[in-house]
Amino acid sequence: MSRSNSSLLAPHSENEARRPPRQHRKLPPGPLDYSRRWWMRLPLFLVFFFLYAPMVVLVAFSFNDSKRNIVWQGFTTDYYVAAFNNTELMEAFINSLTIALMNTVVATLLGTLVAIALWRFRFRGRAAFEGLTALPIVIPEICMGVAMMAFFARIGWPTDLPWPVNLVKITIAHIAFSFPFVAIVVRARLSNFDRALEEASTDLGATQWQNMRYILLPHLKPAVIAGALIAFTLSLDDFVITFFTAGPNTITLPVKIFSMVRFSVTPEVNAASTILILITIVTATLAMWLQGRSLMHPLRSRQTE
Amino acid sequence: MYAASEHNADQRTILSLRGVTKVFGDFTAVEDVNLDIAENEFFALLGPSGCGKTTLLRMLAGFEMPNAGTIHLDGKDMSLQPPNRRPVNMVFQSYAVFPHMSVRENVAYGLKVAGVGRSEARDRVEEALQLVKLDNQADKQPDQLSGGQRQRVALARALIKRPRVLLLDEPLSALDAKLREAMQMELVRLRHALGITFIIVTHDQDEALSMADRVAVMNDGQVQQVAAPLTLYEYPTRRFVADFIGKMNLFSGRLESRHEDRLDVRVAGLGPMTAPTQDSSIFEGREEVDLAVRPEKVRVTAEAPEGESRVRRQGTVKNVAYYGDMSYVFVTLDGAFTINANVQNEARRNDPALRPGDRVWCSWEAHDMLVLAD
Ligand SMILES: Nc1ncnc2c1ncn2[C@@H]1O[C@H](COP(=O)(O)OP(=O)(O)O)[C@@H](O)[C@H]1O
Ligand SMILES: [Mg+2]
Repeated sequence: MSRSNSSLLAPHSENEARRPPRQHRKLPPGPLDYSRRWWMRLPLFLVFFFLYAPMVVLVAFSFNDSKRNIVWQGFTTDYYVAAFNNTELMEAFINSLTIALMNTVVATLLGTLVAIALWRFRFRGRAAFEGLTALPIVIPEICMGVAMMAFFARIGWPTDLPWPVNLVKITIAHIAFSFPFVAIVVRARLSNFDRALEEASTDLGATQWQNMRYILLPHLKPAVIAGALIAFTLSLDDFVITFFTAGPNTITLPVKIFSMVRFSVTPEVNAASTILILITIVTATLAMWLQGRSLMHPLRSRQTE
Repeated sequence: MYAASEHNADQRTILSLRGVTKVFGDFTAVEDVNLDIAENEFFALLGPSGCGKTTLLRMLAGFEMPNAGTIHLDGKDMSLQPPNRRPVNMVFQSYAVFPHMSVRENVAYGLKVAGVGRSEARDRVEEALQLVKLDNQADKQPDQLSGGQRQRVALARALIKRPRVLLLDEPLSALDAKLREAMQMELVRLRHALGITFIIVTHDQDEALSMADRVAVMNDGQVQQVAAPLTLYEYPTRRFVADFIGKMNLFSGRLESRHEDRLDVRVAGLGPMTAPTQDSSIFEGREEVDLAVRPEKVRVTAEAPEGESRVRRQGTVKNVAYYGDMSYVFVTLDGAFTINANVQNEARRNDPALRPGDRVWCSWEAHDMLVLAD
């Protein structure tokens, strides 16, 4: 009734439509409007404060023109120069980079292959194997460190090897705890691989290896790169496991920084830490960005249909 | 009288299936399928969802191995050959276009993995792209293409391998109605242009009937009937096929006597009638048989119809569904069941010709009736 009325009185309803929109009422905060409740904003602020304030201070005081690290005296980059001229620190840094690179190569390869094996094949004890693979992620690092130390001592791993072979021991320990992270990232990407692509490839005459090279690996590429970057950062800033497996000639940057801090926290330590933070942030950001893209990609291509 | 259910003798058999069976666990997905498919034939596998069409097609492609039976292609046993060794290619239901390759790379893929020389590959890719009318989209990425275009990529990618048989799994089901019609014509055109055997899987009877030379109707993993579209529609041999394809009035009757080419049947409420049959021996020992007549063969008239050969019965119009060009009329026959008739609306009228409650005569030619095995 009202419907037919309004169509009969067309000019009237048109006027109504042209009327300016009513002033919006200020609505009470909805259940998900966290930022509009002060008591929810407070913990958020506290978290950010305690998380980032120490780091901001650390970075800021690396530029402090003072030997003692307490009062701001003025801006300088002297301590970066000092850090770069500190041969022990530089050796530790080069050791860290060397270990991280070796670890990245092996852990990425191993993690990717494990992920593919777990996804591709059905075999007895697969679930157990999958659980065992993820174990290093949950085991307390200190336990793993002690276990590694005891293990290498027990098998009589030689201690007086020339550089860089002497780093292999630490690298093995790093691979053991970092490859599961690669495997998990790659496994996530595999789960949205469309098996029909592999079948289509086989149908067009490709062998198993060609499937892997032309179809599966291109699909996995972003996840493999993300996994590699994660393995790199994990290795670069690992302290606990490294501490237990390092010898006097195989000091890494985190271990070196720790030993320097035991004497005093100098701006030089701050400078070295800042560089470590910078490298870690850059690689981690890259990894997250790549992984985000790799998980988003299938959704995006589906949306365009 | 009947169109041959086997293909013409002058056409060479390219694909021959004998007793092909596929079991998943304790579930039989495909059971004892026997088929002969001729060179250059457009063959359709038709059946409801879950009847085993895809499984059968995947056995032809090599993605599933039959648990029993053999598949011969050009006289060679292919039953256990892996997919990359079969001169057969498939267009997947999801198209499975490689997302990280351009259109051109997708089409060239089959040549690349086979190590075909660069200049030959380039020519064949151009040719294939032209064939499916994608030559001006060659450098696009798959996510820039529409569904129909992606399907053409899948088609070109398979055709470039010059397969002996092209397999298509529900190729049109993801397309909208207009595109589907265009693609149907396109497939028929391609088949004629290339002279390749096409085997298409579909659950859409219109698609199967309009495109294929012959259709195999499947149900529960078994092939029910293999015939040309006309034969399938006019002479279904089994109850499932009669019911699945088109609309059908089905009723059962008591078998009175059996002759070589016809059966005498008594239908409750309709009385005795004679129905033609191709092979009356399959009804040996049966008491009950299923009879069928298509709605468009049933004529609805106000007066008693003329003609000795017509089965006729009076009834009351129960319901009329008006479709513009024609109407579905449901008539409850006196003392019997309700029958469905198609009435063409030949002349323009201002009010309906038939209304519920009207007394009418329904009649059909005795030879339009079918007797069905189950
Ligand atoms: N790999 C498989 N494992 C177990 N059951 C399967 C498998 N593939 C198909 N099936 C079953 O076989 C039946 C037929 O499937 P399918 O051939 O895909 O049917 P259609 O293509 O006719 O819809 C279905 O009931 C399906 O669940
Ligand atoms: Mg299917």
